[in-house]
Amino acid sequence: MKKLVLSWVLMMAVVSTLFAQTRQVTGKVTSSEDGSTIPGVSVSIKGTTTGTTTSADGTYKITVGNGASLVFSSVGFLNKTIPAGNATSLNVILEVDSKLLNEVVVTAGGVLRDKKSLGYATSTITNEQLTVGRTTNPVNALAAKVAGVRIASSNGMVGSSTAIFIRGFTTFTGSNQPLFVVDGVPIDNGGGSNALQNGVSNSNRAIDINQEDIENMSILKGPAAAALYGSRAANGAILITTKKGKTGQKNSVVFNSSYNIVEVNRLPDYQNEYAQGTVGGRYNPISNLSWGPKIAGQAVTNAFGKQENLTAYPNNVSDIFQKGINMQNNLSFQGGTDKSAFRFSYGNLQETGILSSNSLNRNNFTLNANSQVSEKLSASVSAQYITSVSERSQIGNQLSNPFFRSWFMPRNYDLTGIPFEDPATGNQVFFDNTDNPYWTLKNNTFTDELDRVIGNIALKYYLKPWLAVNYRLGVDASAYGTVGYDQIGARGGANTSAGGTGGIANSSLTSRDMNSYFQIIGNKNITDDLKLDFNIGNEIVESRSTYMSTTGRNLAIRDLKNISNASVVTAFNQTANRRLVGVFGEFNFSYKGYANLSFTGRNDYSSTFGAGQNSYFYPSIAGSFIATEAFPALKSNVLSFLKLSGNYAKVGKEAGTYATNTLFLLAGASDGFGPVINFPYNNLGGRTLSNTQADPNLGPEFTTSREIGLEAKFFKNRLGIEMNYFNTLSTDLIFAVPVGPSTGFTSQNRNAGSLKQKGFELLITATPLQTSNGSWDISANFTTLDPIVESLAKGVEFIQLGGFTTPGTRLYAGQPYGLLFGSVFNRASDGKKLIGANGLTSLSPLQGAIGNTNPDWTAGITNNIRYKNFNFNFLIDIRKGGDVYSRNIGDLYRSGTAKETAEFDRFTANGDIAKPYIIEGTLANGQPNTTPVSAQDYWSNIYNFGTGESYVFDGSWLRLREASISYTVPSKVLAKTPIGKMELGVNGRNLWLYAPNFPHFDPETNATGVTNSQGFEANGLPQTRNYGFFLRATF
Amino acid sequence: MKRIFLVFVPLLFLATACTEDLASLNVETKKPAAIPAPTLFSNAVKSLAGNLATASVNVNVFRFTTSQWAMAVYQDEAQYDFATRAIPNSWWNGMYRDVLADLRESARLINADPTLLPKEKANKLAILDIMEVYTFSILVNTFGNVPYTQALDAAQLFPVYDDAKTVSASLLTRLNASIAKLDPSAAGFTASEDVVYKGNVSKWAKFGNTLRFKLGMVLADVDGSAAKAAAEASDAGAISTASDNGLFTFLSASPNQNPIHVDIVLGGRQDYIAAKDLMDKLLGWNDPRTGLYFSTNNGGKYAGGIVGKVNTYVDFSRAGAKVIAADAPYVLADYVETEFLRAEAKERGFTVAGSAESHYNNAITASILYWGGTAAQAAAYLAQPEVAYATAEGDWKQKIGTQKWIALYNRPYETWTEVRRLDQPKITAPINAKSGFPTRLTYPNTEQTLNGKNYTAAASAIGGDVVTTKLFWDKN
Repeated sequence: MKKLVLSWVLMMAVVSTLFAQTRQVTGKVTSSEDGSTIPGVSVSIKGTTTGTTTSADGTYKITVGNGASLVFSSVGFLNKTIPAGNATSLNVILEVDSKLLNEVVVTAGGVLRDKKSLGYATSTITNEQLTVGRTTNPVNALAAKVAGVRIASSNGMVGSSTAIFIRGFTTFTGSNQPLFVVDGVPIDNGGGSNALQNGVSNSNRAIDINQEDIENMSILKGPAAAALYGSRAANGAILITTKKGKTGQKNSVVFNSSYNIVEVNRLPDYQNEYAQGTVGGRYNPISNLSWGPKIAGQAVTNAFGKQENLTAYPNNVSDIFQKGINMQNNLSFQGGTDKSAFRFSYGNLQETGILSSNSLNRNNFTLNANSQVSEKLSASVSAQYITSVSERSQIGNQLSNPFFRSWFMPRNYDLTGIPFEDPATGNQVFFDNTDNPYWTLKNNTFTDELDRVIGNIALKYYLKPWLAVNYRLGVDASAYGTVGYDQIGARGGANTSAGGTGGIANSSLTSRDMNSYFQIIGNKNITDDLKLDFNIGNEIVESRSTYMSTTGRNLAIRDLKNISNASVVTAFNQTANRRLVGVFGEFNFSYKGYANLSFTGRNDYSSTFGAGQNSYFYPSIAGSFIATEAFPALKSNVLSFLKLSGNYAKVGKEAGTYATNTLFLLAGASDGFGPVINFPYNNLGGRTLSNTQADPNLGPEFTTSREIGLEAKFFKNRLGIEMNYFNTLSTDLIFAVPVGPSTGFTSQNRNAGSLKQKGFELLITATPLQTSNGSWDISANFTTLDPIVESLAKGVEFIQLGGFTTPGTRLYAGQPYGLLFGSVFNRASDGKKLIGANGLTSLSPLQGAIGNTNPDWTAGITNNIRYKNFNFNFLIDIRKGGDVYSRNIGDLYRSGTAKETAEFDRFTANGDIAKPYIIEGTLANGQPNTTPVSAQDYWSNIYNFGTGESYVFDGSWLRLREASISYTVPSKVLAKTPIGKMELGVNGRNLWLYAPNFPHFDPETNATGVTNSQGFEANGLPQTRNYGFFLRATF
Repeated sequence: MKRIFLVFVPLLFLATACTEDLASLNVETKKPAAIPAPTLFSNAVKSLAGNLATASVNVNVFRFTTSQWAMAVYQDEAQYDFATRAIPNSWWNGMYRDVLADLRESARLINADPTLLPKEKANKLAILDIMEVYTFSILVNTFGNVPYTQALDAAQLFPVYDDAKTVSASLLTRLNASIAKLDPSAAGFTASEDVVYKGNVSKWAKFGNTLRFKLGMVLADVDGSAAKAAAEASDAGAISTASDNGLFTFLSASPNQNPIHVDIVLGGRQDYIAAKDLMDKLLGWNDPRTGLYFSTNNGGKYAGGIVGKVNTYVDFSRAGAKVIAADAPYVLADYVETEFLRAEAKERGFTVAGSAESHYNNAITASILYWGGTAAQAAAYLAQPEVAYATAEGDWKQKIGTQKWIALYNRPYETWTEVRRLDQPKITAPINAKSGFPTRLTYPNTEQTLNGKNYTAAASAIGGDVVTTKLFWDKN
């Protein structure tokens, strides 16, 4: 690369000697929109190859001959030609090109580029598009808005995490989440995975970002787009540009406020006819099943030995929920002088959840300032302080989850009316051996507190008008503390697995990511027609984190949340340090603007590999060709724009920290089965050899992608189509390869296995109506993706992604990524269920694939209708396919609480058990089954506890994801007020859901949150909808 | 132009400076690369005891297999379904990965420690070897042929399975050597490291002898001379009083309670009840252990449920207070089993001290005392003609087998092995049994894929990888 630079420098030296003119013109170029100066404007003498560009402060200097005209052009502005006459000073105001404005995109390295010159796919989401739904998590706000991006919210609890997969998967067990970048500096979006069998619903850290601070988000979709961010962007990157003050802008104050009600968007339909009971339609007050007698006011003895009359309580489940409130308020001050600009904002978000003891309160303080220090030097600083406090409750497959069995609460149990605890002792009162939902919400608590600083400083120095040196240093430092408290008498694992003795878990995670970028950015016309942009530099990333936790059990005093209250305390401490150094270069050649070719190369040095393996190189090449500009004859009233593009890119990915050394562990954790081994035992610390053998020769994973794209616009840009087809191949994947335990290990960290994907993305934009009073814009995106596991390591049949051993999500060679695997029915030779003499099915001893969690396709359709001062926006989110294992649905059936289980009378007229069902299937003798069975036999046989196959439901949906109606108050009305602009309206999210094959619940759910295991629900909590109103005023 | 060139200098400088110490950042500072070897030993023993003690349906279901416990709700494991919950995997992994790997690593570190006195080193290595033999014997007597010579070596990803008989012989040979190495005059592990005998080397010698006695007797039907040699070599040195018992004692405080306590008391699991088979034997002979083994049902009566049938929990007896106590110990080796072994050796004509009847009486008396009964109760129990050695029903195998089955309560793996070996008592198949009586566990299904060639060879060598294949020593 050094050679390239050298030769290029030499070439430039030759070119510069060609200048020989007579008069110097100087001036400044500013924007018509806000008067801010525009750097990088190309200034050329009409009819010649001579030209320059404006420097950082928008000034230029050019030597011209008499009678020459100057052409000013810049991305995002209309070209302007001005006769220079004999002036020596010429200030120019460029008009914003509204048609092209949204075509400028932020690319890797924070470089703004004209979208039409790019050889790869990107998408940009503006603040207005992002904030329609007023959701807490900005990742949620991307749902259905971008082709190729899959958003998967884990559940509707306050602060719950949402996973984002850009173009699917590139690795097996490592992270498939993209890199988040704020103003050119990566930030941490870690966290967000949930334990399957204990703990609360966690946040992914992008939730800390205040959406009101976001000017736009640019989504870089593949390795080609993200090659310059290296390893961490192998799964794409989300580049967030924050709002900033602009030079020359008058001071203003913007106030933004929204108030939304949050509620459960879908609750099960229950039968309310039959009471608790297990066998023979008899009432059993301690059974958690509802196969009992018909509820008819008869006198019974309840679980507490009291007499009561059997009554149905149709709302005993829905009453557990409350209406939550999401309130967001933002105040910002911005302005600028001719040399500097600033923006300060304060944002507050308060959300109370759909369950008590759930809340989130977040404050964001943001300051952005930039200044033109001198003609050549500009500097900017951006600092954000975030403080966030939340309360959460238990989730997952555990007895302390308030919904472990509450979804199928016996229909006759007066959960609201019967006290949940003994007022004298605080001990819980419940018929079942799980925690009472109200009791666990009140008593098993979890709070967390986050303090986070994200900041960067940037300096840009123009060595020459066409050559700048850029240095940026960013830091993302946070301290995150949690306190979990498990009440004495808690029955589930909750925060501490204290087994009823009460427990306290304190943890603190401090982390610091430093990112340093040194870049040389230049652009120069090599000839009149051939232009070169380049960007070479290095990146140094250093991440350090320290985690400490103390868990105390055996509490002496109720509710004393102090670790000293515990008589047995175990501690844990972990650090993870890593550094990545990358050296990169990007060279973009543009011929007359319509033929573009871009090369990138990067070499990484990663501390996660051993000495011999830690340096690796990867390149990319991308090209685009704008046919309508190359051959203007192609342009017609029908075709306005046609572009073809393609790219090939490779990206290397580093390993997790410390994957190359085999170490000893403090004996403590079991593998989830068998006895929990805990130390210290009698003050003795036990140790165990790690179960994973490390490979010192571990090397990087590589993902190679190929993409072709076509973009066309018709009818004077009223209709646009963008299509991209891509495939990716990921090889040398790093994972803990299972090995036979007789080796003493159960896995070995190795490079093995490969994964391939092909996908297709389509974006259609249309403006069916456009009048002076308003317009109707449609933007529809469509994505299909086919991720296939190509190979695993030799002898490895599968890799467990998540869930239980069975059912769970797994990877099998030749199968789709994230296959659901579990128990299946015995089948007759005709493929139908094999039915026994008792009329019932049976389970096969062999398990099998029971579902594919990948959607067949997804689509999002945004309609934006503007009429005079009204704006109506709504987003339809469609998902076809994508199987979900739903424990909750199966539980409703198995327990006899779902409405369907009472579709037929369970008793005959004379009180016998009715047998209204005949399971469709074939007997061993090949005849169809004709044996009738009771409702209980039917539902508890088909949805028997271990029956994985019938717990899988098609997660297809059609939903009104977001909608808003806003009204902009006419300026006439505001004339006599201090308010300059005002917009108010109503908004909503998840307002309507149609999931034809997924009864009772919202299929958007995932037990383990942000993990590669998707489509698996185990006693999950519901999704929410929110609706409310908002106001935005500028003073 | 030269000025531009200067720009690249810091660029290169930054890049190279930052790559220099990359290796140091790859050092995990919070997890040790070197540790005190005894901590691995302590943990391995605790893991082993936990696996043997637990009633987890994912790991250890032999209480149901031997008709000592029945299940109220879920019947899979009681009906000999070992596959659904992948029990062979947990058992196999638990022994190889959680016990043997740590014992072997501990021995490696102790061997390499130049600061240890020779005798202390020898004692520690001998104790580790005895525990390794103990653990391997469980594997070989559960599965048959198992990886042995090539096991526990990460360089051997596909270890061959060794012939079970050869392994058994090798284990006895190792025991002979290790018992001989133990020197009570020198130190062993310290009192806190040694979670079984608190550093008492002479008791480890007794433990080793009882183990050799037991493993020898396993071979009695197939290799009488080996059994005889092992029994006669061990008789004098084996456990001779309850105070020599090798116990792993769980603690009353979380998190080191007995796993049964965690499951039943803390977890509130209402699924395990007494099996009718054992309960009827206890009640029929007025066994003083009845109320010590089991609690009463909700009606205050003792009753056992039928194995494999859905039983109403409240109607049946459950595990007794001593079984579910947080600090209930697990018995790794004890006087009771040693006395039964002596009685059996006598009946097989081996040269051991005492009479079969006296050893039989000692064993039963020791069992009753261990569980909290009195000597008087034991004497009354033994006085019954159905119990008394001279008059109890059947041949010596039936007499010893039946009483050993009762006395080995709460040592589920040992109970299963003795039932297989002595073929007494005859276990009634559970309702809806998935197979005949399981005489072994199938190999973990992961072995089929991860070590397929050797798995296939082993499966055919032992006569098929099914639960009803009889192990080489199981002749009847």
